This record gives sequence, C-alpha cells and structure tokens, in this order.
Amino acid sequence: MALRAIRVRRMKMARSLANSFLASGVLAAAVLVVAPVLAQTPSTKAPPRALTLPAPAPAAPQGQTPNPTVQQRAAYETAFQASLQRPSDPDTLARFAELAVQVGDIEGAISALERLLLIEGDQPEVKLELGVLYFRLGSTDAAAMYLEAARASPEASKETRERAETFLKAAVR
Amino acid sequence: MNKSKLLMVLAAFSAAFGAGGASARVGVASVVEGEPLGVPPNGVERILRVGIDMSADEKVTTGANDRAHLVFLDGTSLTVGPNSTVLIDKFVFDPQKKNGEMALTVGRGTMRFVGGVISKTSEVRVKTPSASIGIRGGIFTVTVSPTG
Repeated sequence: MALRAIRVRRMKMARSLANSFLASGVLAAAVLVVAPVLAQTPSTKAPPRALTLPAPAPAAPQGQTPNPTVQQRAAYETAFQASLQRPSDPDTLARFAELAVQVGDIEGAISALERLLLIEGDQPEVKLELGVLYFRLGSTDAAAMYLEAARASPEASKETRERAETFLKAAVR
Repeated sequence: MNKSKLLMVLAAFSAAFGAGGASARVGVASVVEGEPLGVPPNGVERILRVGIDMSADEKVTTGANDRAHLVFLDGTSLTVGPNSTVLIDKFVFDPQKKNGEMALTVGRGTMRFVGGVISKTSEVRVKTPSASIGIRGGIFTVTVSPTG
C-alpha cells in the first residue's frame, strides 16, 4: 500500500478514535503512571532511570466496555497473527491497532502504534492516536506527552493540531 | 535386538531428545535497532533480527546502541532498552483458555512492558537484582541502575 494511503488510513483512524472518545465523555477512573521512555524515535536514546514500578492499568470504566461481535473478535485474532508474521509491517500494525481498539484491547493498540513510531519515526497522527489511547486508560501524563508531540510536529496537519489541542485541554484539566 | 527394533528405538530417542535444540516459540523479535543479542536455552548466541522466534529461558542483551522490541503470543510486548539484559524466565500461554504464566528478570538497564492476555488474568512476575514484584495488567517501565 502506498505511504499516502497508509497516512490517510491513519488519519481516519485517529479521527475515529478521537470521536469515539469524545462521544463517551467519560474519563478513566484511575491514573496509570507510565514512563514511555522507550517509545521514541530511533534516533533518540533514553538514559537509564531509577526503578519505576507503577500501578497496574485500571479496568475499563463502566459503560465503556466494548462488546465486540464474533466477527470483530475473529478479525482481531487474525490481525494479531498477521502482526506476528509481519511484525514490522506498518499497514499490518495499523490494521491490528484499529481492530484492537474495537475489541477493547487498548494496551494491544498502544503496543502496535508505539512499534509503528519506532519503525517510522515522526508520525503526528499516530502520536495523536496514542495520546487518545493513553487518555482512555487514564494515564494523563503519557497522553499529554504524545498530544504535545503531535501538536508540535512540523508534519502535523491543521486538523491533527486542533484535535491534539482539544485533548490536551482535557488531559491537563 | 534386530535391525528394525533398533531403528524404532533410535527413532523414539530422536523424537524425544532431538527437538531439545529447538525450544518452543514464545514470541518474535518485532523491531530491532543495532545488534541486540539473544541466547536461547540451547546456548547458541544469535543477533536478533526482525521476525526471529524467541524462546522461553532466552536471555536478551543489548549494547549502548541497541534496542529490541519483542511481541509474545499472548500480545504482551517488551522493549529492551540500551545496555540492558532481560531474561524470559517463564512463558506459558494457553490460547484456548486465554491464560498462562509469565516471569521476567531484568539484570540491568531498562525494560518497558505492555501487558497482554496473561497479565489480565494473572500476575506477571518481574525480578531485578534488588526487588521482585508481581504485576497485573497495565504498562510499566523497569529501570535497574548500574549498582543494581
């Protein structure tokens, strides 16, 4: 798939994730402290930090638990197996992330998108998606980091900047 | 013992022990930078490349310019940062029952963990030179200082 097509697909996915979250209007109940020191572009090397063992992720807030169909679940499993066979293929990862969100596997989506960043570097749409997903987990620090990066990226479209700004306001509230 | 019985015995031995060199696959190396090393239970060190199968009891070692991202069969992912060692102590996963066990040792450096199916149903045990902890679900980063 052409790079432009992948980018368009990611833009649509970011819009979809952002809209689904805004429609719910619910913040996660607990805060997960995350230090995503390794989710950086390949050129940035993170220095070691002190031992950090944060609290576990909260369960999905009530009312937000997805109820995937059998078809969605099957598609998700297929996409996961594809991601094991083609672990660094951007389109495979984007597809898996999309389906993971649909079935409520937020951590799986985060893992795939952070891998995408490791492979492709500065992708403001992906950073926006990651910001939204961390926001859904209640990890506002990690959400703010990605949203700020999406907003500051010279590659970001006006729409991406505006959406990142919207979520940033909610994240720091 | 006649010749056919001898062949059958040899075949049985081969089936029982011949697979010993090929450890069970627990995941794959999904993204690598530099030349991170893996030492599976058979002891033959290899440079980890994208798509290489990872084994239980495999030790991953990175240098100053290395990084390895691993994805496990339950969806767990690990990123092993520069100057780190991580041992996959245990990984058992039943994809039908959606449960299993996982244990890791971080000898030095940094490891980022994004939980998969196992961590949603049972604790993932993480050991460092100075601490041991069980974690259910979530995303976390462990850093072991040079002094442990």
